[in-house]
Amino acid sequence: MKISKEARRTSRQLFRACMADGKLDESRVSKVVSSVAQSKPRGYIGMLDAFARLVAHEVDRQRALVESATPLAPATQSELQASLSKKYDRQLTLDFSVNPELLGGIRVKVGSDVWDGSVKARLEALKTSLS
Amino acid sequence: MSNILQEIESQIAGLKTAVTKSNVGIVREIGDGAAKIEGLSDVMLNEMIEFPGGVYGLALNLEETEVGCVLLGAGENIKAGDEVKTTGRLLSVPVGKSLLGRVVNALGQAIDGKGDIKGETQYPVEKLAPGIIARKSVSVPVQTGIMSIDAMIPIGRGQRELIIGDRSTGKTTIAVDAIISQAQQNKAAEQGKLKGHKPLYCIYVAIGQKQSNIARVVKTLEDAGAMEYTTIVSASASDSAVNQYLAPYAGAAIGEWFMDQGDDVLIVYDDLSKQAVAYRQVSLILKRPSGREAYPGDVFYLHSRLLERSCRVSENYGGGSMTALPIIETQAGDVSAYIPTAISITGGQISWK
Repeated sequence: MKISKEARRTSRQLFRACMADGKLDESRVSKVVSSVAQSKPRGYIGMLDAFARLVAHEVDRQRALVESATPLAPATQSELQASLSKKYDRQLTLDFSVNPELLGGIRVKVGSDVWDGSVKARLEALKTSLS
Repeated sequence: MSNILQEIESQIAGLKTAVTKSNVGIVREIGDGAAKIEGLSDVMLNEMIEFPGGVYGLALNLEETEVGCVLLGAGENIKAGDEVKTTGRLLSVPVGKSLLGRVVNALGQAIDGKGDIKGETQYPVEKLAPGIIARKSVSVPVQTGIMSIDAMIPIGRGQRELIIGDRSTGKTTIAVDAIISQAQQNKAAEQGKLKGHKPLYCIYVAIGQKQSNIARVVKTLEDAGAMEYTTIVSASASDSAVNQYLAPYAGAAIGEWFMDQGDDVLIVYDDLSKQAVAYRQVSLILKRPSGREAYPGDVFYLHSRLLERSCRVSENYGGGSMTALPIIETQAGDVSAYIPTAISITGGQISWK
């Protein structure tokens, strides 16, 4: 949907107001959404759309999706959490999922970075280098 | 023996696979050869983006949460939701002596059925023109073989001369005649009949033309024995607008390699009005603001940065040169239309009435 420049600017300002020491404040986000939905300024649907996209982008940055072929042991999970948070220099929340298609190893996605150490990716890399 | 060992070791190193880091995005919208991609936080401007199925795209618009990207190949199998990857490479083409005698597309891939081209190296398609320190004034002429031009309005090696005129007035003929004449002079020089003649290689860039016209030019050059000194870069009317927009830059990159080796090159852009039209299409699809005749604001820069790349460089920088013969087609002799006036940085014009 095409939204006006003004609505885009406002949504960016609202998003900035929701940040507290480099982190997204959930209570502020819900407050912003409810007050915008109530007061209904001009182009508020587009504004909320753009706001939602910015929030989703930020949430994605704070979250790591960890895929593995088999469920990971709790000790490995906490180790992964610590090393990833250290690498990215921010507290990440980890979401674990099991994907047997990977065959082995793990695949971690943080924001738009993907660290692929799965057997499937290695086999594919081998396939392209040999063909 | 140690060479073989080294080779084996390097081969093994190439086969080793470790954890790979990549930067990915998700296709949100796709259509008209352009895609909007969410993610790709590390993407560079003009970087190649890898789509599933071996299709590549070019990142042209970097926005707040999205990247506007044009496809360089067929995008029929790409769906919304597909994952794409950055490659860390700018768009580049193979360059080198092996391109002489060949017909390639805007990405430097052979389209003449004579096998793959392995260039000496790769050159980026977009490159800044040499600066004032590297340049030297023009001192050697290009003998076009057309007496009226060589006698009255000689073209120097490293100059730019616009050929402008209506359709079918003979613009392409001048360019092709000049290419054939260079081949004859190069051959005469090789046989020792022409003293002190430095060979002049030719590049013919066909943009938005009929395939039959391009085939005819290739045939003419082959019959005249000029193909062995010539590379043809072809982006025909059936190629995508992106390829038509990129073809002149790819041709310039191929020419720059010769210039960097200290050789002289003649490059013909036939024609740049069609390239401007292709660029207009790309810009409108990417929703860039449009100006006069719906051309985007940077249509002046489109041609000026291309033509600035042809120059004569001093001996310290190899002493090569690149002469450009851009061609512009006018409508009913109107030389004050938008694109003919936009392309005003050439050293002179050959105008057909």
